[in-house]
Amino acid sequence: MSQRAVKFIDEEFKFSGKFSKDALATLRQAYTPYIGKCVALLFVGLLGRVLLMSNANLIGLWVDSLCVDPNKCKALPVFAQGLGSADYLVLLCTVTTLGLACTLVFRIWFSRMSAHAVSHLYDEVTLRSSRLPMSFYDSTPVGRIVTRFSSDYGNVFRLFGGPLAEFIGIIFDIIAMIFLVTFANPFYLLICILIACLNYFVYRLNRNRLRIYRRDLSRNRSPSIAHFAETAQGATTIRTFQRQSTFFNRFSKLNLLYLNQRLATTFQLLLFSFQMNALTALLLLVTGGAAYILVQKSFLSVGSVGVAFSFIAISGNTLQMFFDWIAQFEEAMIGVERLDQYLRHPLEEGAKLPSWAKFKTSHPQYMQLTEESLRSNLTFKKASAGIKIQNLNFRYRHDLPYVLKNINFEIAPGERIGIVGRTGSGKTSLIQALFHLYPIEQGSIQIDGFEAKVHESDIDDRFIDLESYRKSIALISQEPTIFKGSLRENLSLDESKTDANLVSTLGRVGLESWFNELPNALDTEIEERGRNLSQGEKQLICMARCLLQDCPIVIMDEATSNIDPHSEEILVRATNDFFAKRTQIIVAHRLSTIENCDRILWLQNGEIKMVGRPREVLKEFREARL
Amino acid sequence: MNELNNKTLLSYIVTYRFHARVFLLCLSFAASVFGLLSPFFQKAFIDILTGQPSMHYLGYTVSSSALVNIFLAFGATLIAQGLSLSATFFGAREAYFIQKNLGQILYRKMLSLRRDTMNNKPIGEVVSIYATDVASATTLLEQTLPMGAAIFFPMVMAPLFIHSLYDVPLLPTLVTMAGLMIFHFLLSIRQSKFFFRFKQLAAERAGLVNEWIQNIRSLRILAWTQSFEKKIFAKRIEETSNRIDMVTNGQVNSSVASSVSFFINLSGMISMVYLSRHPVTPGEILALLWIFGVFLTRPFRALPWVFTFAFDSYSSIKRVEDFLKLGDSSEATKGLEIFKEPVVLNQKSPNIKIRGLNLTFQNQKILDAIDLDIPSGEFLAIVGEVGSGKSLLLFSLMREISSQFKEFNIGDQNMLELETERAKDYFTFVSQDGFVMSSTLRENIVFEYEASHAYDERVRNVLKQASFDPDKEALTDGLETEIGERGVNLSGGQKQRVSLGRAIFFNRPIVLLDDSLSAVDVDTERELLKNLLLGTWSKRTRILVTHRLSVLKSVDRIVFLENGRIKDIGTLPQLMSRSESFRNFTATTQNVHVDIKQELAEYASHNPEVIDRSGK
Repeated sequence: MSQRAVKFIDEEFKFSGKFSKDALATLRQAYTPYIGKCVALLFVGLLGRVLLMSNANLIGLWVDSLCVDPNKCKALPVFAQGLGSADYLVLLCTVTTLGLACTLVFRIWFSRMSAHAVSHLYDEVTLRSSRLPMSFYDSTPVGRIVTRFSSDYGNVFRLFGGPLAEFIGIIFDIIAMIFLVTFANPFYLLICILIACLNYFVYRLNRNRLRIYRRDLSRNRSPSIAHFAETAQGATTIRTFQRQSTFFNRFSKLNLLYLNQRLATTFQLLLFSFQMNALTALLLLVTGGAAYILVQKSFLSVGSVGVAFSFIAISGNTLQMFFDWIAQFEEAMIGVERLDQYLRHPLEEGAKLPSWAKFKTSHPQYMQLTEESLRSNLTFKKASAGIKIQNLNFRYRHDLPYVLKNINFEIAPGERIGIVGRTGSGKTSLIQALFHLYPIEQGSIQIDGFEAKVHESDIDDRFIDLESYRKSIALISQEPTIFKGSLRENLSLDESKTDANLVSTLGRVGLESWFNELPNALDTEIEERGRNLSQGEKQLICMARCLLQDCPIVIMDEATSNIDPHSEEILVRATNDFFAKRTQIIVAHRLSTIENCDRILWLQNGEIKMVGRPREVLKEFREARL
Repeated sequence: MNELNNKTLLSYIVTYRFHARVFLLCLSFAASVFGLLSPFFQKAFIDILTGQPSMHYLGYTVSSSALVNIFLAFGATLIAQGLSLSATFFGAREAYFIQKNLGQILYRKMLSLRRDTMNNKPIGEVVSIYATDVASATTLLEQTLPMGAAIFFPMVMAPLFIHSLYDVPLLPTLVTMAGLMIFHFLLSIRQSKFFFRFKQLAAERAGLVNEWIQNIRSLRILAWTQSFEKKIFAKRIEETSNRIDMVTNGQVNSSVASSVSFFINLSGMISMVYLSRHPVTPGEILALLWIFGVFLTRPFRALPWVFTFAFDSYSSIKRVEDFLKLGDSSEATKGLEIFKEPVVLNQKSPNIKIRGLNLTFQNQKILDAIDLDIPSGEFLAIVGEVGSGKSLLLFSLMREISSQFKEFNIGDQNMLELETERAKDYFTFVSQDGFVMSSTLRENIVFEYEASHAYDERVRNVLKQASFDPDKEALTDGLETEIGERGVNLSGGQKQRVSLGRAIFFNRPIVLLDDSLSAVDVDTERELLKNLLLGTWSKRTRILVTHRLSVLKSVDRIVFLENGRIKDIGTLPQLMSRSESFRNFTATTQNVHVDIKQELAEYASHNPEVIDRSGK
């Protein structure tokens, strides 16, 4: 399959500095079901922070009420006149308790809500990622796709499920502080504006540099991990050739590269923190100096200076956290953007989203009624079906050469066809084409007169849903596909079969005694790739699965000539016994496998070289091979 | 790097570069002192403004100038911030040293773990120990230590400071603070339990996603897409519901932490108003606010994190430690001397003598009393069912698994007297999947990073013998082509051939092949057999584990393994004629194995009884 040994797409998504509209629209869709709740909670949250912060104002008033020097005392506002220390304590107690209660309500429910919203995003991305074109999977490393669902989603969840509420809480703090400090004396608004400008200036000064440092950091991370993983896989080989030193040196180099970058990034972050903190200290000095003059002139009260001082001190902390969170927020938004990329990627031709998908992404979607009627579809509930291939030209991608050229071929219902050809002759490609795994640009494949509906324009009755079309063919591969999970799940994942049916099918393929010894029967856990099964057991389970699928057409793919005797026996039983009445297509490496076929199709360089009786074709083929 | 010997990892992390740890604590302490001085000068400033200067504290006379005081407050704030950030930086720097060492220790350990000592740990788990646990183990230094100090000092100092300067009773404040600490501690323990479960569930979900993407083709062929999605969603829902519990717990923890300083301030003020011996002054109320309400805000906000980091760090330390305990625990800490450079041996095709080879692995007898003589230059095949011990027989020869021998000689060398590392000099080996590293084709053959171009001619030659022509395989940059994960992704057959090339490059006396032709196609197999196994290597002692029966007619002798025992050994016709179980093994049905049958017919002329027996 060297045609598809293409180089992986190198470019990984990078953050450009602005969030795309799409990503924000996606977030909005995720939050849409909760919009009313969201607004209410934001209000409660803001109220909570204002109440807590008003502590400082009350204390300021209290301080002013204790003022003894008539020259420096400012008149108290009307509502505060005549309050004693005990009253202030009660007031403080009330606002603090209420403030905490509101904060709790806001943060808990907002975080829970966000967690749900982000989970919906995950589900919607999964629905689309299951249905992307095969060429996407061919050109994207598995690791990268998995990363979207593990670490990118992790980053998104980490922010939205928790810190986002904290981040918003910090914004509330800032709003509350500006409001309350202005309330203490409008003069401080000037100072607020000054500090905001200075902070923003410092932030802008640092932003791009920090972004670059962060990006370099994440870029330097993966090489050392990848190298570590690689070494773990090849440890035996490395030891055999005594190449530990060169691998160790490479690792040390990569590890240090990352760690140095990490320390440098930390240093830059701290430098930025220090600049912000220095601003806060400076502000204290400026406010103090101004207050010194203004209190003398009775323009400011001492209490309000105290209030200002505490807000300055708190704000230093808060602003710092605010800018820290902005960085986290950016990271999470990169995660959203990356998920969004898959969310909006075009689907495989003919694929449709299930009716319950909620996000609007301009992908085709099933109607609920259609879905139900498809579920009870009986088009291919028959013993066998015919196949008609017309003028088929097939390639894996637009920029790759054709691997099947002008194929015209018919298979009668119940016929047994063998396919031979050298590596690269197009045998595997023909299977891919039959399953419609790649878009068929030219020509057509009909099964009992039906074609897969892949374009909106395919409205003729002969076009049927792609998934239904695929259900007409079953594949038995020499390399069995086994999933981690229960035996039941490995036989039939859609719960449409009864346990009795599953057990009797296991019996049919000869796994009865094996099954009877399983302690947990159908609930027996099967490990990843069937590690706890023998090769033969794996193949028989796949055979049973194939029987349960009950398809009119069965393709048997002998991928390599390296087939152990048991596997071969199983294949022979499949052709002669289990699927004797079905239409069979047998792709063979070992010619012995297909001597009993009705006809043999010989492929060469993607074209049909010869079709005919096994004796004739195989004779020619053998001669050509030598 | 021998520090880890006889030490727990925890004490290693804490005591490595101990002077730096002490320095770190001093920085944090100084930061706290200056942090407290700022509100002290601010109070003096306010007191001067209100005309109530009380200017003697602990023998120190405060300046009576308001401006001097505000300037001192400014200076103290600046210095405190500078000190606390330096503490953070030095914490990160200490973490850097530990991470560097720990990464190397883990890597060496991983390189030394063999199939048996690995204890069935999946590779993914080992990688995650490096990728996440190393960093998380050092958060103890990076976060917990500086942050803990930045919390501990202010929390202890603030009440003392207030008590000694403003005569506020200690007890109510301390009780409030202790209560809050316990509250956060308990919530943090709960949080770390949720977190543990979360990691588990996330890993399980990632496993499903991995399986889903790997098998996307099969899922489409089976029309199982929707059903598999359901499986992922079920796991996702389980994960989310745990996550929501975790979020709820965490939010309670941190919202309380972020509001709590106001409560402490309140308790301070109540005790000041009701328990103090003198009437309160405005300066005192404000000083209290700054010290409790402001100065303690950060420590309290950080409190839940410190607990969480500490728990998390501890569990990571345990995981790293458990990993380092696998197998021979001394190996990983030995240092670079365990890496031996290869020695070129002069023998070109020694004979091998094995007596009484036994291997028990995970309470299962894998190899049982194997006696085997392999004459010089023989081409030996090992066949048998999956699980009969074929691969592990090769591993035993290479000393890649702890098996017992009564006697094991290669040529005149008693292998049991040789260090395991020196035993490797005798073998060149290709594993079943072939190992390809992420680097250039050249480096994959020479098997050395930054390999010299001087080898190019030899590399090309070797590739030719391995039937791997870079141009025909669509490797556009020739020997410079990056292959492996980050370059051109090779097919199974291509990987095997590159690995064969490497095996040729390492010109060693004995060739061990673990089903190394399994993924190449029939024609390439024929080519390799002719040019390499019966060509370049024709004089070598060769042992090939195989499932591919077509190769058997080319080998000198066949070892037929069954349940870890040598069931029979001999040439193909010998086995065919005398061993019923071998015949059953090779020809279980009538329709298959025409090739073998043809062979049989051919041999029948030499040995008529073959037909008789197989005809039954």
